Amino acid sequence: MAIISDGQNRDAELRIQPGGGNGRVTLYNQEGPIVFNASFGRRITPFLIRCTGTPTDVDHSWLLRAGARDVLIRRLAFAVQTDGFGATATPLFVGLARFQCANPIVALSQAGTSEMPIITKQGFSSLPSDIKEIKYLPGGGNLTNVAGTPSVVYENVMGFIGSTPFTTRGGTPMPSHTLALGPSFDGMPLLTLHDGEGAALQVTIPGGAVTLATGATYRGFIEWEEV
Amino acid sequence: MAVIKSGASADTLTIDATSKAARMTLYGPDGIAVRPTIQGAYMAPINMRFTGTTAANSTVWALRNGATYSTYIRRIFLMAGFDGTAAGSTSQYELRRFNTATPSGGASVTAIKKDTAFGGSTLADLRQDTTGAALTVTSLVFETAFASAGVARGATGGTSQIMLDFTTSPETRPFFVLAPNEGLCIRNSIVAVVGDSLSGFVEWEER
Repeated sequence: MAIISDGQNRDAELRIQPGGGNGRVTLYNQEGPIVFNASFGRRITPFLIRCTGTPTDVDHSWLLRAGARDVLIRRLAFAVQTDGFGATATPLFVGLARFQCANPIVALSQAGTSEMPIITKQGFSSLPSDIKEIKYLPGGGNLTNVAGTPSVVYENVMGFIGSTPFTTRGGTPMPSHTLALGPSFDGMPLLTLHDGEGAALQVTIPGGAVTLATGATYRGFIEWEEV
Repeated sequence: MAVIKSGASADTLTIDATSKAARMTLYGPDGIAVRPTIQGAYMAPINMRFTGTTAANSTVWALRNGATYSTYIRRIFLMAGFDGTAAGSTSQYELRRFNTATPSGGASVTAIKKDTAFGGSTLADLRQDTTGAALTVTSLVFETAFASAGVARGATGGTSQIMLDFTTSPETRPFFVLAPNEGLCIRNSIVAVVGDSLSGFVEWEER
């Protein structure tokens, strides 16, 4: 009989599950553990924006800003519709863009409503979410900085997830779509937000300065892990 | 007490102190790691609305790999829309691999890192024309299309989506792979008209 121990410090011995006889293993790839071994909980929050004004190109109406822990975004589900009565011949695209905020301490946006994330499993972590803030404008528009704080620098949109043409009242029969950024058995790199970074939903209107009818609505949820 | 030691080096098996679990890396029978090291993981957007007529079989979005690494495409999401004058036809887009040359025209698109800790993408080129105008494809050699998308123009306001997910297996072999210097493009396989639109994203790794 042999007890398998750690080769470096000999303070850990391989655990065999009683009954089943299975040895414990953790899958690693060259970059680290595939299953995050230091998760502080998986959380989820919904978003629902209905533009009561006219949506404008490059509006950021919803954002999430990471705290000291990395945020690994697992899922982003999305639907875009319009209930306005417009005949504007243009679509509206909604995508996801990362941003940097040089000062992660000062609140980013003074306008907008705050949202608290919901943990997916009670007891997953006794620690509260480390997210700095989740802010949104329920009626659409562009979130603004607190005066005097460093500017927020948005990256280009990394992917457009939803769209709707504005020519038909009632919107389009687009099903919800999940931007499946993870999880993956092979430990694929998830969309990661470090301290001082965040993610925002960005409206894009092809052609730019097109005035749209009110009623553009995008809704869904975002799910992430804090590690 | 036994310590498992490599036969080829001084390395010994690690048992994690808290979980008491041994560290393991999955390899295929061919000796290739299921999850090799990557240089980086990236995403790029697709967004265009056709503001004119674009001839059939024009290339409107293109990604060309660099000369060093292969590009492993994880997912492609396309949403076709239409806001023009209703007509009895259907927009149609197709995805093709290409090689030999690099498209030009339109505007460059930035590849976004999925983690800012990654280095920049090593792609040779990434571009589109947001008005749906054709890119210049001199000397490009196209393979046969491997996927298509489109939406009926019978009523204005429609959308249709397609998701190509190459990650349904833990293996990396099912990925759609671009060898060095190969590319991926979107072509409109029938004439595109005012009001056609296309949005979405491509997600990939370089290794």
